[in-house]
Amino acid sequence: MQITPGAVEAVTDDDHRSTERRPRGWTAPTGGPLWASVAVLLGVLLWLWASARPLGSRFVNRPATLGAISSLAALAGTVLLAMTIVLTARLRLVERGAGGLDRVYRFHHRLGAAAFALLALHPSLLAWRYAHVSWDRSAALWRPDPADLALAAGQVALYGMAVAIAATMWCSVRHQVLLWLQRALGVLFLPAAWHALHAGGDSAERGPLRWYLGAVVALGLAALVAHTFAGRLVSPHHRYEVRSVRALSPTITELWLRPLGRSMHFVPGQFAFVRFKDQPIGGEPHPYSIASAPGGELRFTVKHLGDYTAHIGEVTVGAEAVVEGPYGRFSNRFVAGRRQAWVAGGIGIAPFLSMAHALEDTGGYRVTLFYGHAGDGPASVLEELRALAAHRPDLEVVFVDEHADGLIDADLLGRHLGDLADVEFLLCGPPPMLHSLQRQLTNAGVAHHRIHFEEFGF
Amino acid sequence: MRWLVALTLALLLGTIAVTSVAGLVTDQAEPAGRALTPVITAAPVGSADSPALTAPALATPAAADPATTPTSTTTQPATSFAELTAHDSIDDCWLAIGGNAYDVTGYIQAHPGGSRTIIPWCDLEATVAFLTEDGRGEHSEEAEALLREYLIGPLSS
Repeated sequence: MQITPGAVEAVTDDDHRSTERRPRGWTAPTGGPLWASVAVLLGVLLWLWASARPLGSRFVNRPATLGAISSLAALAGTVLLAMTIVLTARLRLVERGAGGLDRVYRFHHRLGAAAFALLALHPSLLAWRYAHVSWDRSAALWRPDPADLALAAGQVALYGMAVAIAATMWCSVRHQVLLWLQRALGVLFLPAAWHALHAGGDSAERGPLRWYLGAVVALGLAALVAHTFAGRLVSPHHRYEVRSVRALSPTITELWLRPLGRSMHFVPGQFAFVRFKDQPIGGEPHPYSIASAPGGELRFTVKHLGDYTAHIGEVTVGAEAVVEGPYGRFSNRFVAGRRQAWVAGGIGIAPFLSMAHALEDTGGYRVTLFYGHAGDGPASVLEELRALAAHRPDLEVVFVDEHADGLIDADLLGRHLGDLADVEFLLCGPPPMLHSLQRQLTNAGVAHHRIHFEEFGF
Repeated sequence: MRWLVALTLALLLGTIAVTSVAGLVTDQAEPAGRALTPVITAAPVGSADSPALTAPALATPAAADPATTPTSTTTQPATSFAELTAHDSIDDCWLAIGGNAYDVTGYIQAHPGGSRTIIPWCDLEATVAFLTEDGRGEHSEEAEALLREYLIGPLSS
């Protein structure tokens, strides 16, 4: 069942046992609206470009054709670049449209790569166009010219993007450096936008095309400024204090935070960005699933996955933290059916801890939680889950030691659940596990809309 | 999307390398102080230093190509400057270079330097601008040969 954004409706579960009001603003998890937005933006651009002058005049010979495609690539690349800036602003409207922030970020990666490809194609084709008349003129395209600021701006943007993107993709850098590279990519939008509006060509002539490009660029700039300088206005920020820091295992640290002011309201299964103030590990925000039930304190179980999280245990008790959120559309409460199978791989157990603790607040569920761990599942978490299952008739927990029992697969799920077709599956864990289980469940006859997951570690 | 980024970087770096090397080699092969073709002079029309107007150097008709097809390839009567000034837009652009009038309307979109570097000179005396690429360098021999294809005729004094 799909609920339109902004609506609050009472729904019944499949067995008509109870009703519950669903959270506001939920949409079915799909990237459709994002793709539609891209299609509309590029479609309008193409139409305006084709209308700016007779198409025939653009393709009269090879140099003119190269110039025309180069121009179109530049304009399209600029539009997509502006859209990537908007996607990184963590706007709630965008998250709802995409069906979760993880999907927003994945879409952002794809769009960013496409934008860079188009923006790099632009000068490449232009160089080959110039080469028809003069190799020197062609080579001059890559050299800075003090008399041409627009050209210089374009060069700064292109070279800067190439270095930053290559570094993020192929260099092993510290997390802090990675964040700075990502920030640099956002800042490079400024010279790129300047070049687009002042370099001449199709966008130089006053008319609908120039106005359209200006509007798109302004939107990107607004998102950049809002995210950089007014993040608190774009997404809610909450002040918390670290109450405890505990090592659950050699590779997992648990943190409890208590609110210093208004506590953050969230739905079980959601996550938040957390940054610590005045701590040796740095003040950059990182996303973590919330592992506690809603109401008051926040609990995070953090696995040591990189150079930042490896030192999360050094955060001191009493340190102030800023929590931004909540984000995410992954929750048992966002799913229509009440007969549910929760499948957790490793640290993917975190959102299910929140959901399990909050089960008694809702009622009507029948849940089987499958927890797969490589023999290193924290003993305290295992005990916690056993205790929950012992006291909740609506929750059954199946522990799967992957070393001893192998990976969780559709056969194992079928043996415990019986008929899979009427079960709603919520999956959380490493991407290979998610993709494999999604394939297996689909092959086993589970409908696509009954498989829900959030990629951990986007 | 790593493959897309890798392909993009390869194309970009390859193009930079090829065009830069070609530009360097071409630059070294051209003799210094290249002489200008007779039809083009440095002195603007009407100036005290302007030479006597020469007969137009007619270009061999270009191969059928709409973008580079000149509007006139035959001897024309002298064009007055007043008449030149009537052709001052992107859709109808005449300009004066070296004592001759040229109709560059069909070439504006194909100009490697972009249309915006030509449009401001429509209906104007553009000799110095052409010779110096508007202060950025000098046009190649190929560019000068291309210009001849757009010759209308001499400008009358």
